Amino acid sequence: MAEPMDRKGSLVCVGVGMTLGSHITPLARSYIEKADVVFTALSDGIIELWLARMNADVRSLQALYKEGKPRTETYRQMVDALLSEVRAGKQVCGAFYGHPGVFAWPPHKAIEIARAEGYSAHMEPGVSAEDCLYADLGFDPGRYGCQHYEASQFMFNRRRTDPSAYLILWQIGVAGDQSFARFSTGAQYRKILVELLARDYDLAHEVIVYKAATLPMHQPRMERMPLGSLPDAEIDMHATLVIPPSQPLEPNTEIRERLRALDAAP
Amino acid sequence: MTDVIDFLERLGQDATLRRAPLERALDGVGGTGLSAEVRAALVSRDQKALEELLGSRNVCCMINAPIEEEEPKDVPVKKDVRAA
Repeated sequence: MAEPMDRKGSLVCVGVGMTLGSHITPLARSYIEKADVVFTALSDGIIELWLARMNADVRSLQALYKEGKPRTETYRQMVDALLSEVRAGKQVCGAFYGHPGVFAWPPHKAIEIARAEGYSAHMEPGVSAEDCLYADLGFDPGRYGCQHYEASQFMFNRRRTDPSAYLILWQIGVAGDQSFARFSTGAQYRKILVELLARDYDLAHEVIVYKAATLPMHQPRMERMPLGSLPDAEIDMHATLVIPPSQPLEPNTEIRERLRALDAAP
Repeated sequence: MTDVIDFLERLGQDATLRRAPLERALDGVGGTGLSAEVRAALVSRDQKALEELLGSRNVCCMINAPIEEEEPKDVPVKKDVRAA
């Protein structure tokens, strides 16, 4: 296998942040501007227009999406698009909204394959929707703890949730879609999600439907409602579900005693 | 004169513009050159109208799915202690 940097092509995946103009780092912008070719997967068409001004060769990956087509196929095509230019010897930049490594499959996979083939490839962090969520909703994930799951993965697998911590479910707009081909799943699917959550949370427990502001003249969506109202709420592919703690922290007295004994030891 | 993308970028970066009422922010950066329709879409914060006027709309913003790969790379593989 060739050592990294032996081969001419390279890949960097950057995040442009969530809000147009506000979150892009100087380094991310520099990588975009200096790349031979830039591939974009962004949250809004207007943000695509903004990115398109930063480099002479910006190629949107939007054309790879189609409702009814599994997104797994779309993501593999995204990876192929990035890597074909890397293999052609170009300095490639993948520009993704938010953070390129947070709830984003193609950037990690493209970097993994590029490195395996001996190309230089890395990721630069960006301001993610999660980061905006903490600022907008005004809570610190360190205070009670915070669990994050992709909503469908949460439904497909048995997870242990801690109702004394925050629970964030991402992509609730397509909750329960096993085909990965839908752009929305609707109330009946969310009813099953709510039934699952009702094992740990009362249906009257207040939850928040959240969406970060992607254009600077917008405010974030922070819509509070009882958990039981979620199925009938207006939910699209941009929506995230925030479930605050419903129980206080339960002290672990056994562990605390053992720690106290250590503190007291000579 | 500025175009709408320039205006949005400046609005995104500038604390003074972010604090100002939107119409004043528009006037402050030469936004009077924008078409009446674009200005109306901005002031009413109507993203759909703005996208139609600019001819740009995204199909999908999701870049994640709970793909089950055979060998997840970020989960350590347990070694068979019998082989030691």
